Amino acid sequence: MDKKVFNALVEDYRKTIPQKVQQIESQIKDLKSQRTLEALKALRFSVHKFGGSAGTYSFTAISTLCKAKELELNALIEAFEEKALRDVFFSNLNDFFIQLKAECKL
Amino acid sequence: MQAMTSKKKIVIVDDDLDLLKMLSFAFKEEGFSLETFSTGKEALKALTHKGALENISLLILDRMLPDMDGMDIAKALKEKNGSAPPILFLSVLSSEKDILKGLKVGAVDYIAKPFNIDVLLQKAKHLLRK
Repeated sequence: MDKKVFNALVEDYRKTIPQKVQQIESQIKDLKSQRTLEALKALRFSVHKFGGSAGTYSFTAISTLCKAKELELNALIEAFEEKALRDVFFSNLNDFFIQLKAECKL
Repeated sequence: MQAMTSKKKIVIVDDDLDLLKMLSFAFKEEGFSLETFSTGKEALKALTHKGALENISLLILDRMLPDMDGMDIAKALKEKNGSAPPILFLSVLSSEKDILKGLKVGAVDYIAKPFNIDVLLQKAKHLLRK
């Protein structure tokens, strides 16, 4: 692919990153308040999509972080129990989000 | 190269608009014609019409669509038509088990997301030369 075109696409994508991070933040808030499988699946879906697209647009660190979190969320979804969503889970999720914001330079 | 591929049509089913944008630029730059869908339902509606598959050279399918697994699209097309165009899966689901599943439903290749656009282009061009 033409390098100039690729770089222009990467710059366009970069502009969409804050919106993606904001969506994940909002879904974490929803999960904290609702603690449902649906809210967990919605968060997993966004993390999954962000991981897939970010890496393709050369944001490798964001992609690696999201893919690791997606695996954890998948395991929780497969054997969902509301009681698994304990403080330690949310504390880890918070750490993930702080790291994500740092990688996204936000 | 451009002349060789100018009439080949590629259909992509992926709900990630960022990826569709990248794929559209890349394939159009190489002279392919392109049709994209962002849901499985939309894709099935368009692709199950009589003759709809005839001029499709390659079908690129995501797995985790909002409404279905891309693998179900491949299965549905084969059930309905007895065959389907060459299928390439493009997915974050990329364990050996997932890849094997994809190949078992008849995919010619299975590429993990995130992917390198130039690698994907080369693979697609290679598949279409056969």
